Amino acid sequence: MADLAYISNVTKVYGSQVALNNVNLTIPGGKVIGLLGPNGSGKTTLIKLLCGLLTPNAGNISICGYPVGPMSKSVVSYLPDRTYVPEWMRVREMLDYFCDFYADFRRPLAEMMLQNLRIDPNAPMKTLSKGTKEKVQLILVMSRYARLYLLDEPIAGVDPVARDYILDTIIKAHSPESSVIISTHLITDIEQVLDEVIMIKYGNVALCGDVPGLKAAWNMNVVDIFKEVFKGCF
Amino acid sequence: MFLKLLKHEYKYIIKSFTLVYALFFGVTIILKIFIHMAIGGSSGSAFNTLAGIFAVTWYIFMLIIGLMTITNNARRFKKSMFGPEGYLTNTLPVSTSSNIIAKIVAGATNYVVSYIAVCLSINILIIGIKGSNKVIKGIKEGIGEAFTDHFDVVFAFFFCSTFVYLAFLLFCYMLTSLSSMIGGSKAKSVLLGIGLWIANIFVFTMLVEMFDGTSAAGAMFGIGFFYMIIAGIEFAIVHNIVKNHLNLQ
Repeated sequence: MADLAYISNVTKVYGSQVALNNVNLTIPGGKVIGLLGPNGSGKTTLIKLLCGLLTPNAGNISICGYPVGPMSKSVVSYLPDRTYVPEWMRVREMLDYFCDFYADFRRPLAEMMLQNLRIDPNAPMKTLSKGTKEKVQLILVMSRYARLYLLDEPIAGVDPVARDYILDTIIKAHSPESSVIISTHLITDIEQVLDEVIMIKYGNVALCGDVPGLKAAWNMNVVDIFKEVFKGCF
Repeated sequence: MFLKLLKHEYKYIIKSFTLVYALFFGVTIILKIFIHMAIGGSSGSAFNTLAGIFAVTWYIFMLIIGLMTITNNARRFKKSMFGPEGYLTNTLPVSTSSNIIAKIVAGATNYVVSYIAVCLSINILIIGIKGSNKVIKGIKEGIGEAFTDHFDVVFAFFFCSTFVYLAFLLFCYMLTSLSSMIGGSKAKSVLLGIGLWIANIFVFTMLVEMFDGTSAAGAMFGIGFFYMIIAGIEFAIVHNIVKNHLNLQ
């Protein structure tokens, strides 16, 4: 499977604080990748750089051959770690919005998922609970036939049943040639779906590799590898 | 893509303003009925009180529409670019310029529609009143004459007012963007806004003095060109902040 994204010598600085320090990564196609690290390690910054919300101070990022911009945004599906749906819209209007801007949006799939989760498409966004809004966002993001899915804490703060549904949706909805990057602290819950992991420590890549290979090399599961790598960081 | 951005901006404006416009025209019609009844000879303290209440309500609605038109667009810009909605807006496959220009166009349209709504309401109120036909005829003739005899002044007026409005709209956007960049501090943004506004008044006064003695059209063209440059600078600042210094809340 061809590589999807290249991150070359990327540095991001906030004032005097270095969030990412000369990071080099290659994101392969067709993989579910866990982006792991403690709070403030630079996970969200990396995701924001990939989806174009931030500009690096140094280095280059290319996604499917495009530099970060309107073209790369058309192949990236991003789920932030907070609710972003406009309160003045209805659920159905959000589907219209995604249909208008993303050629790869699969409306029948989104409608089916809404039905499965018993979410009324005519409901105004402002009347939905925080959890339901998060589900709507996940449906919108995963209903795209994107090349790269960037999911920032998709299972944080949801109940275990919804968590299973979300992980199942992520696995089933993404296309075989696309990759999914999931940033999370809840490693135990997602370990079984991960093909690769990227561990970030103080803005640097501490460990990167495929899960079976790492498990064999370290002779332990991903959670224990994580604990080993980040020993003393908390 | 630009047209799709515009479509969703208009949807927002329609949702925000439909009820206000409907209520405004409702009050206009009720007030018109009272005016007709008063012309027909109706009177009495209850009638006068009700008529007074509706007249004040009509005036308040007019102020609300004016205020909403100015603030709504700036609030929309802040929320959709720098608030949580910014995670959606700024990851759309469109350029930063398209995003900003769509909001400017929608804001300008909103302004024109509100202006027309207020003019229409005033028209509804005065039509049929004794002597109003003469006034309307006079205004029409005046406008006609201005277009035929003083077209340069009319053109200069539109040129000047367009860029003064654009500069004002972009000033609001710039203030919002700068406020977001410095961490969303309201006190700092208010101070910054007041400072920039005082500077603007100072420069405007200088411009008026500078064009003193020139023709009306010449002065308006001069001021228009100045605000065109100001609007351009403001756009560049907003664009740079959104593209390179986005600080989403």
